[in-house]
Parts: sequence; structure tokens; C-alpha cells
Amino acid sequence: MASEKVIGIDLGTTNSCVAIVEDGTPVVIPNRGGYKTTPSMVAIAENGKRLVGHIAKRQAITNAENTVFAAKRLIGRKWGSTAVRASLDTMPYRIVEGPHDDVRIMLRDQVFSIPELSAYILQEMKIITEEYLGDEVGKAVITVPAYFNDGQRQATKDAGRVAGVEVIRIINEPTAAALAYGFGRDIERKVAVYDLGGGTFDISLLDIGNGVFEVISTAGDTFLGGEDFDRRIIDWLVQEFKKENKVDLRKDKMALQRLKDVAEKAKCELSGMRETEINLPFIISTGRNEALHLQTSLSRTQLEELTFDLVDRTAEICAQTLDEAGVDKEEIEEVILVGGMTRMPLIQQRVAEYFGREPCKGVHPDEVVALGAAIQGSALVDDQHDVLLLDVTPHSLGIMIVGGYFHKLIEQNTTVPTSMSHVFTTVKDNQTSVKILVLQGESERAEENELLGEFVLTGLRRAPRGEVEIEVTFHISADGIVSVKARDQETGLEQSITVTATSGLTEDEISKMIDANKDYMVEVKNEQEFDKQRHGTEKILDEIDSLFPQVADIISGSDFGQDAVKKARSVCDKARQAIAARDAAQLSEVTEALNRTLNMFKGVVSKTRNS
Amino acid sequence: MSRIPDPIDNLGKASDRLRPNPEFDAANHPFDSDSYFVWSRIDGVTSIRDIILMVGFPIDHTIAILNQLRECGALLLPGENPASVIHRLNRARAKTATGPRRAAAPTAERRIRRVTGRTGEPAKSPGRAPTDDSIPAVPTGPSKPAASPQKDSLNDLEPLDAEESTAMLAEVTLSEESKVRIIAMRRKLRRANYFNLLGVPTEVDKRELKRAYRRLSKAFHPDRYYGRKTGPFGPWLAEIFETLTKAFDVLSDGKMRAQYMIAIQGGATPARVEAQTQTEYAAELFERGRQNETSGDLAVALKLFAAAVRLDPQTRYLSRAARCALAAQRLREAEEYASKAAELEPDDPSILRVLADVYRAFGKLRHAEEVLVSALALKSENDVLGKGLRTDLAQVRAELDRLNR
Ligand SMILES: Nc1ncnc2c1ncn2[C@@H]1O[C@H](COP(=O)(O)OP(=O)(O)OP(=O)(O)O)[C@@H](O)[C@H]1O
Ligand SMILES: [Mg+2]
Repeated sequence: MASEKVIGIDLGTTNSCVAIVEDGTPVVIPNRGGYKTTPSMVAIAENGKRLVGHIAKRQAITNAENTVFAAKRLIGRKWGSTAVRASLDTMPYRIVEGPHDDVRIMLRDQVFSIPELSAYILQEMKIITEEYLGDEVGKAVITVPAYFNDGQRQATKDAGRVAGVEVIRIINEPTAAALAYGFGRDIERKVAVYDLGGGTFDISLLDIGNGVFEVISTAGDTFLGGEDFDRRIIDWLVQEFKKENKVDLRKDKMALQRLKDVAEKAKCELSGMRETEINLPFIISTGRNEALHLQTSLSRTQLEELTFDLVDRTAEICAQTLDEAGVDKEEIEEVILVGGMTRMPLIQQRVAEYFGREPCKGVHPDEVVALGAAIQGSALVDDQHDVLLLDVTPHSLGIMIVGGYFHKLIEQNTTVPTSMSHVFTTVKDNQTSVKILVLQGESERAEENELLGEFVLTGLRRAPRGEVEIEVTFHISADGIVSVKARDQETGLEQSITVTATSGLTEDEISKMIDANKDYMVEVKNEQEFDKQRHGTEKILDEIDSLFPQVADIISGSDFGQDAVKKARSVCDKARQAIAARDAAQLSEVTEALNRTLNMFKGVVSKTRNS
Repeated sequence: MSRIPDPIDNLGKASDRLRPNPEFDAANHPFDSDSYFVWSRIDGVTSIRDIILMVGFPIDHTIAILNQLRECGALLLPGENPASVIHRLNRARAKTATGPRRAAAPTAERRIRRVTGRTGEPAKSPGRAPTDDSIPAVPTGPSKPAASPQKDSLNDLEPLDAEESTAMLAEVTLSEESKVRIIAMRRKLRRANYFNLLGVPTEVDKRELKRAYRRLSKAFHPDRYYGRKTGPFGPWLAEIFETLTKAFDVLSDGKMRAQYMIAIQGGATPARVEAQTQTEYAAELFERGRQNETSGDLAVALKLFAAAVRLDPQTRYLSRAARCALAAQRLREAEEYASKAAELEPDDPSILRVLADVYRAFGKLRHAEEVLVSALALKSENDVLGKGLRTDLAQVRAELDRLNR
């Protein structure tokens, strides 16, 4: 089968990265600015224009309320959830309740769903790749934190659809990192991947050998990351400032955004230095026409004091995971660090302490995940590939049984594909139907788990309770799709569903978004076209400009010459106007005239030189 | 070579079935992994052609390996028996002792140690003379369905059953080889034990077991056929891979493996392989309690839970017992269980919620409020639980408000 290009996208909380396998080698694709990662930020500018990536980041301070960052922390979450509550008063943008118990963000009076905002980032990554390849890409493997549940995964898939890419697989970030680590190397060993990024923490254990990457166990916290470290610094700054000035900086959105900026910067600097200055002049005005400044310093030790419990928590999760998987620390032959936060010395130290070995330095913490996603993409579509990923289901699956309990049928960390059945009986006399609630989670109580779907098996034969037996079979396919089949043992009556978690969007909403976004694609394409054209025109203008004094000297002696110079000026002005107005039609018209002028100029100059 | 020759040099007809030599001790032989894999596919039931297709190596490579295996006495052709093989090997040894291939002698000798130890037996004539079915077809695996009587067939597989024939005709984008390989492996699921399925000897070590599993995963994992139209073969691949995983899981766990060995040898799983530990007994009591609770026998369930908790006071048992006691309106017991659980695990919001429920049942609303507030203050991955806790808290507060008025 001819293999088509599949891109791998690491859709991060803070940064996103895209990679592709070229001639058997995975490579990261730099964006227009030459950066290998792009900030996961979306903003709506004053003129209503959508800004994504570095441009969005650059204007974040002056447009804080309309700039979204860390949207991944909200994707697939329910409005009432703890994670959403925690974000409500710490984010400078407006988070509002969506129609399906989901979360939306309000930017300049327009309401956006989270998958939509994520789609804009994915689309940016798609565009970056297409510019690089000079070819369209249609398929992608996207990574998510290992501990994401089905709702969050589904929401990410929806984002892909809105962005106009076919998401052929969602894989876990730490797994992707391990793929990139082991790709093309003849190794046989157990490894741990410790991934602390901007928003999430994941730990995965894998057994690698003979080109097979087997996930043994995976765990994490989808709400623990660099953002929380930043928050600790912000809290500290706000507190100190309040003590000194009796003013609450949280009240001011712009101040909050500046604090966030400076907190992150300080945190990163303290990975290399022992102490750093924090300066925010004119941070807030007191209403009496007087401005206050924030000026202080933060040491590495202080930062470590502010955040050690966060680091502890990651170590706890590691211990728990190893324990549950029945793997000894000594069996782990390599620890791979992934995510920007693992540059923090305290973290490297704790990881080394815990595992009793220095972590591997051979992978790039910002790029491995995307590289791994690209590898999995090409492993799927390319027959020649010798890589096989054996993944697990991160959460247990089961159904609700009498008493409101959750009966697990497939335990977490089971290798997929997998299936499992269990026979249940009726609980009432003459019961003719059963409702099957499909749940995901680890809690004993059914209601404390995520509801994935439900269906009713009707037409059971009448019998005293306990006599009718129903066999329920769960299946999880290699791509994580859950299906459930219920079967009356005696009559063979059967019913089944494919369970899709809700992402917070209806099918209708998604297709509307897809349509709306198609227009955007056209717009972007046009702009790219225009930019290319502009580039050419500017080159001609430059050339004309450089010849102008010389030519003017030579020909302005005659009336005809003066006229020609005037005309040339006006053509140049027109071109500049067209560029300023981004008027593609006028630009192509005037470019012809420009070309003629340039030729004329060149002719004049060369003639004089020859004579 | 793109087609399987028939007959095959030195081995006979492609439809012939090879048997492993029961006298041959694989554990003592330094096979390379390809040879080991091929050897592990030989079961007295699968034809040479099926083996070649199933292993998925280039055809001539597999044939060369089969020849080597025959050379060193690891397999038997139809009509051969261990004694005839010994005879042949002895002759070969006599030749190499003086002949030019001396370098090979030491290994040959080591490889046939066990076989030559029985040279006292009368040697039968070598060759492909029929009969001798009395030799067990399994080298090391403990049990094995008897080989079905041999029928010559020119097809690549034994006659297809209806389901398989339909599948072969289905419109799919799989190569003929893949289809046959999948069908052959699927048949194997039905008749082979876990050792045979993975193609490993019973004394296999972890490393070899893992390798066998990986190799087979690479051949049968559905992702290896991604993007192809697999029709009925799709579910079969999933079934094969799932069974391989099951086999691997059982065999790589010491205890499960021991149980499995007993099961396949004795034909039944004994209830307990080792003396049951206290915790295991507690787990069993708990499980029985759960069943009773599910069927509505709360009193019996509570007795069983109480016993389980006494043996192994873990929070899971405690909170379940508390819930059950609540349902049975036995509030004192419920409170006892719930507070014990909360004591053991004060940071688990789910357990605190049970305690809050108990307090609510008692009408101790202030207590319930307090517990819920502290549960909400805990960090939890579980969004749904957080929401539930908030609803509970709102209800408790509403109730308190009502009472205050
Ligand atoms: N030198 C550094 N020292 C400390 N922290 C750093 C450093 N460089 C980056 N970070 C932090 O790493 C985080 C971003 O990491 P990364 O790009 O891996 O996250 P992400 O992939 O976007 O998020 P996630 O994987 O959680 O969705 C940010 O919080 C950033 O501040
Ligand atoms: Mg990341």
C-alpha cells in the first residue's frame, strides 16, 4: 500500500509541536518563525481577527481578556467539575457554562467551545506542516495525557474534525515519548516515562523490545503541571504585594496576565540561576492617579519551598503506579523525562532520588511527544514499519448494578484490544427489561464514575427474579472504541451499542463548526497567497528604490524624463497602498506596471553605463 | 521463492504433518530465535505448508530451518519415530568423526545427548515408512488434543469449514497468505493450550515468553492490518490477539501459571493451589458478600462483610460494608464502618462521602456538612465525584436552612 503522510501533533497545554516521518526518520517541523514549538494560545483581536500561536502570545498582556491559554485544562470537562471551578477565578478570560453541562469561553461577545479553540491550534499545526511540505495533509495522530478519560479524548477528536484533519488515532503522551525514545534502537528493557508539562502529569511504565512497545501501566493527574507552579508564584507575589500596599492585584485582569508572565519567566530562570529579579513597573494604579510598582526577588530555594508539595505529589503517583503494576524500581532500566517542567532542578533531583538512577538525557523534552505521534502514524499506514504499540486502557470500564454499585468488567491498564463478559441476573420478578449503564472510572459507587452511555435490553421473558440471565460483553478495540453487547442467555435476544463519550458538543454543533472553519481555511489560504505575492512586489520595489536616484539623475533633464519619474513614483505609491490595504487584486494589477518600470530603469542605467 | 514447492526437498509432501520429537529436549539446545519459533509451531497437526505460511518468514528460509531441525533430531517426519532418528544421527556422527565436517561434531553431539543415551533400543529402518502413531505428539507441553488422522490435501489448509469459506470469499484487502495465516492461527486457538499457542515449552523463562508474545503480536495485532478491509478477519484478529495476551498474562504470572499447569494436566482447576492466605480468604468473603448484597440478602451480606473486615480491614471493604449497613437501616454499624474507613484513609473524598451519608441518615447534618466540606477541599481526579459532593453539600445546607427557619 502506498503510504500517505500522517502528521503527529502534540497538543500541549502550553506548547504544541508537530512532526512527521520523512524517509524513515521522524522530524519536527518548525513554524514560520523557525520555532519548533508553538504556544497553545488563541486570541481574538480588536478587529475580530483570530490570532493563534506566537502572535497570540505577543499580544496577551494588552488583550488579556480575549486571549485563551491552557484551554486543554478545560477540554472535555463538566461545568460542575473541580477543575473548572479552580479555573473560574484564576483565568483572565471569561469561562461560561455551555448548554450540555460543558464549558465555553467568551471572547469579545462570542462564545467558543473548548474543542473549537483547540481546533484553531491544530489547524495552525496543519498549516505549518503544509507550508513545509508544500502538500496537503489530511491525517493525524494526536497525543493526549495518558490519564485523560473518554470524554476528554472524544473532545480532542472533535477538535481534530473541526480543524479539518482525520484523527486516525489518539495516543498517550508518555507512550509517544517512549516510542520516540526506542525507535530504531535495538533495546530490550523496561522504562519509566515521567512527563510533567504545563498542565498535566503522567507517569507510564513500558516494556520495550523487538520493536514492540508494551505499556504496562499508566497513571497521572490531569490537573497538575507548570501552571500550578506558576500559580504558586503568583499567589506569593499577590500576597506580598497586598501586605505592603494593601492592594489586591487579582482585581485587575491586565495585572494578572502580567503576573502570570513574570511568574513563568522567573520559574524558568530559576532552573538555571539561583536567584532572579521580578520587576513590574506600573502594575496597578491606585485610583488617586498614582501608580504602584512591583519589585522583588525570588530565589531557587524560595521557589522550591513554594512548590515542593507539588513535586512530592508526582513522586507519590510514581510510587503508587509501580506498586499497582507490581514492578520494582530496580527493574526500571531507564527513566525518561518529558515536558518543560522537568528542567526544574528539584524535579530532576527528586526523580533521580526516587528511581535511584540518573534520568536519561537523550531525548528532547519538548519534541519527543510529537515525534512519537508521527512514528505511530507512520507505523499504522506503512506496512514496512517494524513498530507495534501495545497500549492499555487507562480507566476501568463496567456497568451499574443493583444498589448503585459499579461493577468493573475491564480493569484499568488492560492491554487493548480486549473483551470481557459477565452474566448478570434480573433483580425483580417478571422483570422484562434491563437498563444497562456503561461507566468508566475507579469508584465503587456507580454515580461517582463517568457515564459513557446507556441502553435498554427489552423483551426479557417473564420469570422470577434471578432466573433470567443476561450476558454483558464489553469490547475495547485497538483504537480505544468501546462497544457493549447484552444478550439474554436463554432467548439469545441481543442488543449492542458503540459507546462514544460526550465531548460536550452535539453532532450538529460540530458540523456547524466544521463549516465555519472551512471558510477560515479559505481565508488563510488567500492570505498566504497574498503574502507570497507581496513578497515579490516588495522585492521589485526595493530594486526600483535603489535605482531611483541614479535614474532620476540621468533622465530628469528632459520633460519626458520628468514625466517618467513622476509616473514611476505614482506606480510605486499605488503598490504600497495595495500592500497596506492587503488588496490582492490591485496588487497584481500594479505589479505588472512595476515590472515595466523596473525594466525601464534597468534599461536606462545600462545604457548610460555602456555609452 | 514465492510458491511453496510440493514436494519439498528432504521433507516430503507439503501437506505432511511434522511431529516434534518427544525425546528431544529443547531447553538444552542453542537454537537461534527463528529456528525456535519454527520448531515451536510443529505440533503433529499443522501441515508443513501451514507452518510455512504461519511463521511468515521467507519460504526458503523456513524450509532451511525445517531441514536443520530435522538434522538435529528435533522433529519427526510421518513414519519416523525417535529410534529411527537416533539411527540416522548415529550414522551421521560416525561419518563426521572421520569426515571433513568435524567442526560440527561437538555441537551435534551435545544436541543429541539425550537421544543417544538410548541407543540400546533396536533401530528401525529410516525413511518415510508409514505408521507409528503411538508416539505422543507433544514434546514438552503437558496436554494436547490427539492428532487427527492424516488426510492428504493439495489445498493450503485442511478443508475449510463454512465460516472460513465465506471469509475466504469475502471482499477484503488482505493477501492470501495473511488470510491463511489468520485462519490457521484461529484454529489453533480452539485446540492448543497456552504453551502451544505461544509456541513455548512449559519451562520457558520470562524472556523467551515475552519474545514469543511480541513476535506473535506483530503478526496478529489488528494495528498491523490498519487501513485494510479485513471483513470477518478483523474480529478474528482481535480474538487471536486477545487470547495471546491472555496466555501471556497467565504464563508470566508465577502463580497463575502453576494453576494453569495443574488445570491442563489434571483436566480441572483445583480450588486452591497453595494454602489460602488470610487476605485471600477475606477477599473471597467480601466477594460472596457482594453477591448476596446484589441479590438482596442484606443480612447475610453484612455478616460476610463483617467477617471480611475482621480479617482484612481495608477501606474498600469497610466503605462497602458501611453502604450495605446503611441500606439495611443498621445505622450504628454503618457509622462504625464508615468512621473506621475515614480514619484509615482521611484523604479519600469518596470514603468521606460515605461517612457524610451516614451522618445524614442519623440526622447529624452539621457533621455531614463538615465532612463534605473537607472532602471538597481534597484534590481529586474525579470530576463526577466532585460534582456529587457539591450536590450533597447543597442538599445538606438546604436542609439545615429549613430546620433553622
Ligand atoms: N527552563 C524551565 N524551567 C522550568 N520550567 C520550564 C522551563 N521551560 C519550560 N518550563 C515550563 O514547562 C511547561 C511547559 O511544558 P511543555 O511544553 O512540555 O507543556 P505542554 O506539553 O504544553 O503541556 P502538557 O503536556 O501538560 O499538556 C510550562 O509550564 C513552562 O513554564
Ligand atoms: Mg506535553
